[in-house]
Amino acid sequence: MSLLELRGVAKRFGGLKAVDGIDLSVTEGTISGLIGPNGSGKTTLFNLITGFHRVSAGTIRFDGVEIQRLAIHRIAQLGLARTFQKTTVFPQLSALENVRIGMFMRTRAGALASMAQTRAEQRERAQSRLKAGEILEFLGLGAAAETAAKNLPFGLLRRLGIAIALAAQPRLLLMDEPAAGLNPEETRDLMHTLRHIRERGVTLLLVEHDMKLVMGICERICVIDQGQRIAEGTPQEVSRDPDVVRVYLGEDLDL
Amino acid sequence: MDVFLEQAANGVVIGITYALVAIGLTLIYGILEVINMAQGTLYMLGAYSAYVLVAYLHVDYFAAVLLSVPIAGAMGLVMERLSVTPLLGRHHVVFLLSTFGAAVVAENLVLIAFGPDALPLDSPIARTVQGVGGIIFITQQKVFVLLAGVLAIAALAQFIRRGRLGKAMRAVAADRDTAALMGIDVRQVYRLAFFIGAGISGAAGALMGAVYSIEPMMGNLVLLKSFVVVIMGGMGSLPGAFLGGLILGLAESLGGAYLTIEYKDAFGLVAMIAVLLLRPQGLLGRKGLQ
Amino acid sequence: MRDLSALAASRKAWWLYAAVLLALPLLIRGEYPRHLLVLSLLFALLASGLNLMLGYVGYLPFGYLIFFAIGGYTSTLLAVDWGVSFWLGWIAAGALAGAFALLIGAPSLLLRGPYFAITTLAFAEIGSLVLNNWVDVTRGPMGIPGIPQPRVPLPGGGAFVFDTTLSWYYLLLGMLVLALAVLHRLLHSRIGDAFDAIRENEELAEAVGVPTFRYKMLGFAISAVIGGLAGSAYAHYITIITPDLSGFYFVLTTFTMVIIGGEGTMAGPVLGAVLFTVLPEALRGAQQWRMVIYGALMVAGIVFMPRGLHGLASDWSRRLGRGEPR
Repeated sequence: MSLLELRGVAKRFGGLKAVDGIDLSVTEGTISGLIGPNGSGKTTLFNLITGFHRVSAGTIRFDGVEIQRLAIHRIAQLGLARTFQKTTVFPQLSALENVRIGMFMRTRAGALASMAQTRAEQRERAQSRLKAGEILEFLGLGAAAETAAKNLPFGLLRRLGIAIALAAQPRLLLMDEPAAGLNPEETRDLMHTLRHIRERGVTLLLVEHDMKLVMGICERICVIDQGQRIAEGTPQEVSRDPDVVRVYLGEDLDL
Repeated sequence: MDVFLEQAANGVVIGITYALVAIGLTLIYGILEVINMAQGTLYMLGAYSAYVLVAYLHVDYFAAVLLSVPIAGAMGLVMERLSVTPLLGRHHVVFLLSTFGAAVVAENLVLIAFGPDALPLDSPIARTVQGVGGIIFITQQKVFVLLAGVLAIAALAQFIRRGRLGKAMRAVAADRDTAALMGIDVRQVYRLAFFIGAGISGAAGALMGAVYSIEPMMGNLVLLKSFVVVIMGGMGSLPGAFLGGLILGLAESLGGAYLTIEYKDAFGLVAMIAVLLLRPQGLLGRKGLQ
Repeated sequence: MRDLSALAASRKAWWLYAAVLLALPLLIRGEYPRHLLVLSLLFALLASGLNLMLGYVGYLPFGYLIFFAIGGYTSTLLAVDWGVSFWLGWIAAGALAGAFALLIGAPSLLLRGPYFAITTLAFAEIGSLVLNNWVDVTRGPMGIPGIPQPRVPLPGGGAFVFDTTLSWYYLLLGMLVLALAVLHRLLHSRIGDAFDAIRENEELAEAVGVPTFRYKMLGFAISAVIGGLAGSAYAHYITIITPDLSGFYFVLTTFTMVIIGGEGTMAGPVLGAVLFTVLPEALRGAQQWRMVIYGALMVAGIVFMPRGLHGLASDWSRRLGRGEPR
């Protein structure tokens, strides 16, 4: 069952074609990767899927629903979450609060009920604090729960970004270069974490530049270059594809 | 027809003044990314500097206009040192408030020193009427304002396009971090930008002050107008500020004559809101400084 | 166990505060000091409205004071031209200010921070032009004098009129407490969460599903309603209204109160309001010096005290008191 499906997606910026007719599909329950050299259009594609840019052409279907014209928060509400390249958090709030607010759309209480602080609303609040704590623990951030996000070291900040994205219990989590700036040991930890996330029932799509991570953990990989798809398949298939080798010539392909 | 031409001429003159202040604003924004709420105040300070020179020190008016540039520039530097430099790196919005505070301080100091009444800035050509092409009759002062304004803008454009400092300014406007890596003293460029931006507004005040009169609050509406111009012309665009200023001046003058005098100040504001919503980059604007 | 005693201590503290606030005007004799108390409450209300948008939602509404003016003129015109009672007029003032906020906010909130600020300023300037020039309705720059004071009809005939500083003090205290109570509930609800998210990182807020535009509009509207209610109260207290309610002096004073008092806290604007109503009296200089000092304080406040007086105070108490790790 295809959770995410792109057909003929294109994006023009003025005269520049950043993305030129891409088809892509992500199966539920898998970890998929989207790779390409710098300037290949993968970041643009990422932003198109999550609603940060408008497509010039094509359709994007999430669980059968067309999302390419929806507002960012609507897409998020449908169950599609994302992390950011420049780790993005709510700086002055504590780590716990960060995650709790990440659950915003999961809480049911309407605005007025929320103000009236009905018993149900209070229960919901307490529950979301517990859940937030649980997510923090899951990502090894339990000790930092009360620390203001801006005071967290870089590595923990990264994980907090993931925690916030997970808070909304997404069905699909898009991750924007999650391995950027991590050393090999941290990358291995990340791979463990991603597998655990998948076990919780979240489908993953990684947009990455780092071949090690992608080859190591993705079940299916899509390679793009200059806005077009040049290869698609399992890591083995992709690494043997001559186009891919050509594009990544000179890169350390350590397979 | 006579009325039309006369109003058009007035409009162009006022437009040049708007353009000068707007250029100062857009220069500062383009390079420091600070919206200077004291831009109108600097316009007023230029006018009062010229007044002090002429009325108290008996300096020749034209020399006073020239001197108002470095004087206003220096005042701009003081403002910059106190209300901008200590806040660099913080959220954009704090500068609006801090420069606003600086503006209020300066305006009220002038109010205390000179009183609230309008004062005359005497220029030898303020009352001499000049016939232009036998059709338009405006004062020589207004012609002077126009010529001086255009000259100043042209000089500034050259400076930015050619000079070493001009290139440095453009580099900082385009990408501050790269410019720093290239060895450009970014703080120095900031100060230069503020000095020029303040100076050019001050000159506008000294020029326009002799057309009507000067009073401590004269900068407030001019500030708002220069926002209109900068937003219409595009943040960071000097040609945009120039054109925008002229268009606004004309629109106000002609609109004020033919439509409504009381609400003529609203034209620009409404236009600005429309532009912000429909074409936020302005009619000509692009990123960086041009 | 420790938490419970802390709770008890704060409960007792509230009783103490309430007692002091209720007794204050009775302890302070003299019309003029009581007048200052009334003004403090008025500005506390006005500043709290501004603080909602500036300190909590995180947007700078430079044109905020237009809502103060709209509120004032609404209930004034209703009372003077149509004989409407203050109580209805007050509510209408809040409602109309809120409506205008929706009108102004719809375009303005599509824009980023500084542009939002300037756009609201432009709208406020347009509003000011209207107030000054639509003489048929607003009587122009001269303003409208003789605004009737609020009255409550008494069962035995006759009426209780709010014509003393004492009565106004309690009326305004009630208004302020009501407004702060509503704000408190608001900010500790889901709406408050949305505001926090928007203020701290609007992009991320969108990405976690917060409909940011809707919530910004809500915050802006509520902020305006409070401003409008303050304006109405102000007009009927001073009994005269002029267009300078949206003018420079009020803009600077209100913003200084919020910034110095501490934006982003509920007590901050109240503190600022009291400080900047009482302080000028200590200075007693001409109004121009007041403006110079306010302006200088605002700059100094922004540079040296990013979280205002209240932030400073709570920082100190944290460092001195419980020795918690930062």
